[in-house]
Amino acid sequence: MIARELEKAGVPVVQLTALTPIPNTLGVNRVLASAAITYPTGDPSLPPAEEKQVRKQYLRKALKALQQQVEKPEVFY
Amino acid sequence: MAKALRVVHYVNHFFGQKGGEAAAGLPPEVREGPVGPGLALEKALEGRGRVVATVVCGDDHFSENLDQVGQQIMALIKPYAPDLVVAGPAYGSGRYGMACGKVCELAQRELRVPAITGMNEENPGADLFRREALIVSTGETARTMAQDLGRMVRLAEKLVEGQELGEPAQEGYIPHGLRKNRLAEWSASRRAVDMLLAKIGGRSFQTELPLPKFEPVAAPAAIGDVSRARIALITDGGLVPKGNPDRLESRGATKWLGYSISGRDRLTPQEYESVHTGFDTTLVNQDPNRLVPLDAARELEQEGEIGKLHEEILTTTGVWTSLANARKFGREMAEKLKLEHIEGVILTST
Amino acid sequence: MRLELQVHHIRGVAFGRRTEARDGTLYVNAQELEQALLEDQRLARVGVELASPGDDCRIVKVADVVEPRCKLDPPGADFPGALSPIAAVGHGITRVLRGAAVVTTTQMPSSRENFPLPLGGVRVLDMTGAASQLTDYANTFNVVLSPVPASGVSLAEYEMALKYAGWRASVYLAQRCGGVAPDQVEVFDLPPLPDIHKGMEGLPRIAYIYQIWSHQSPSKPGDAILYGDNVRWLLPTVVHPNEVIDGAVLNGSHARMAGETYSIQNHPVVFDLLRRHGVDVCFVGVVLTVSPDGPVERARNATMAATMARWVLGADGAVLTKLGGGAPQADLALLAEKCEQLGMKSVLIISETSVDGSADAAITIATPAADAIVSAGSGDEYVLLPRVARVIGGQVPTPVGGPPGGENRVKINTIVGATSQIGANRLVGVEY
Repeated sequence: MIARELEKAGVPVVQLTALTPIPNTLGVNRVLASAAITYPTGDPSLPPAEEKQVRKQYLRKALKALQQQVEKPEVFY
Repeated sequence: MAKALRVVHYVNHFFGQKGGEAAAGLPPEVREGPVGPGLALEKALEGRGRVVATVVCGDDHFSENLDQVGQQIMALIKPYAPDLVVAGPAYGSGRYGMACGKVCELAQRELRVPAITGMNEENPGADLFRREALIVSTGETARTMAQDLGRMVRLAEKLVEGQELGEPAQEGYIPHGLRKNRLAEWSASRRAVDMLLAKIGGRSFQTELPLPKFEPVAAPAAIGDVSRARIALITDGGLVPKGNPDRLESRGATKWLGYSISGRDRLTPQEYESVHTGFDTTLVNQDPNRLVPLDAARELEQEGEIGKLHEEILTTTGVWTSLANARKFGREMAEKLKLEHIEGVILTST
Repeated sequence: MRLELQVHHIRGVAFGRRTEARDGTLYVNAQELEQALLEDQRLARVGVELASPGDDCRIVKVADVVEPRCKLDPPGADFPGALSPIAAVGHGITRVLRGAAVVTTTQMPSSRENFPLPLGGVRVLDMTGAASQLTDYANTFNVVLSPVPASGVSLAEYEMALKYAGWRASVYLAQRCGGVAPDQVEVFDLPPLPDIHKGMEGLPRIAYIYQIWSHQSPSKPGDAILYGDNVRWLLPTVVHPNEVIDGAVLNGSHARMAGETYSIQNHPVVFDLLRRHGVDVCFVGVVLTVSPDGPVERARNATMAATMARWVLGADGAVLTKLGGGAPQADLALLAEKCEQLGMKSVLIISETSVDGSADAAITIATPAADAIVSAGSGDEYVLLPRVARVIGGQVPTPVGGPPGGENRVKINTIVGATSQIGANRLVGVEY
């Protein structure tokens, strides 16, 4: 709902979530599959330095989604 | 019913016999007794009530000043101390429908008097007021006026007596858009198997939980170049400074908060935690960057992949939060972010 | 696989010198029961009280409800993987004390006051008044256990011990009730899958896809959910319906939304399909799955579960249920889509999630594939609990709300048995 209102106001937003069907229900246009519900941007199985690299990859994907023109709700992976 | 009901009827300029479009700008006025369809209304009451007064108002005048005119009309109705307010029915007329919806809403809320109206489901007034008002579902034209008033009266009498209404389809009113529990006649599993057999057999069936319909939102234009853009981080994962100084709710949030991250290059578990109760927060509390990726975002900022990171993280809790509140948070956040010239948002959800 | 339930109808409960069932009354020797439970070193003592339908009584901090049962054949195969060594269940003979229940109450303050509900953060069972109309557990003759932790026992250990105490007491009570003939014998005897539709070729084949855990609250090591396993990384798997209702599937130790053991033992979907097998459906089996933490696992589980139901079990249609809160609705949405893609019809059972009663928040999914949903009602309405004369389980102070025996306005989801993700309750949501 928050993402939906931001989009209505014209603010580009990418929503990271493990529950990709839900924002799609709400009509959020840029959805990025996150790592998990209990750790959206991370991977607890990795040492901290490597985990941060994983996190940067998620952010790069998020930034890419923000730079991509979309016509209808889309899920990025 | 022991004593005859005192009914006040609301009608528009046309049904109030003030004339056609030319009279649509007339201000509200009150007349003793029934006017126009009020006669049919009184007949439908079959002696159990009478129309003590009729308020007439021009549709244009009302719909242009819904709140203000609504209050004026309440002031006109109040002296008659009615047991019931009946508005319309408005059929397919949008302006009249809005007026009837408003009259019913205010009569119930301000005068504490049961109120009922009728209109077509497609009438914009139905969409706007069905939550608050009891609206009998009608056709699009006034041809069925006598029957419709009869249905309205029957339902209204239940309302006045404080009886619980049956389901919308069976009682003939437009659903309020609310849900409530009933005791089920058969178990959910039995109903599920029955429904499945109907679906497999190609027979008609009715879902018990219609899916919500959300109008599509146009995607905002893509950001041209994020390496020059101002980007904000938002989460609905319940991130707060350790100890939750502002008492963000752990479920059913009624507010959102903004916390400065100025001068910070990561979120430490000593300083931040999640209060969200919809998931197991252990991993996020070990390293809050797993919820709001500040450490990685700062590096990307320094390396030039993000133009500028907004110096505030916006946060709320997205579990058991009403849609109305979530919408409000979104609107308020958008307003604030636009003031700060934020060009893009990364929202992390759990 | 043939499962025989030897049912004893219990119509009363009382303390007695011997634990036994006599003339429809369950007599309980409280000392002996307590001693049996104290074999678990994590417990210091166990309060035993009785509550019957209509008693002016409230049980607070309810952790679980269990139907007293024991395996007669194979003997001792009770809740395998949890209480006993791994052994196949779902066949042989099981004794059931129908009409009785073990109710456990938690006696350790929880740091996990995640759900700050009145009356101690856990659930409540009123044996009288408005709330008792909402739950089947107000109609059972209840043996209520209040196990007190031994000193130094952690909350996680205690929760595990509490869970086991309920299961142990269930077995103990049923084992002591031999010596009288059962009042009723129920037999559930499905042939092996290749033969299952013989003689019922015209009936639609129905599978049940059963989500047995939601890892939005990941299960812990030691949580007994499937033959003692914590299903942390469970991939969809096929089981026989009899296994589900005979102790193979349990509800872990700590998640409040996992439902009661009793509701699995009497699983309404499984029982309904078993009873209708050969009448108007052909019940081809159960696929167990979980709601995982990550999106890739989610897609994998939905794909595998739907494929199993369609192409391994050969189902024409499937009933889908979920566990946990809002997140697992996303799994059901995906599952419904996969079923549709494979040409299999589906019906979902859903507990509504609207906090403010608005219809557009009652469910968080909107895939057109989920066009057939049965509502199990909403836990977010309120019910007024009356003042009661007696409170069981209320020794630990209540952080929220008034005195536990007083008048209390609580959400329906506070009442154990009033809400259920598998439809083991009486409510349905309607629009108005």
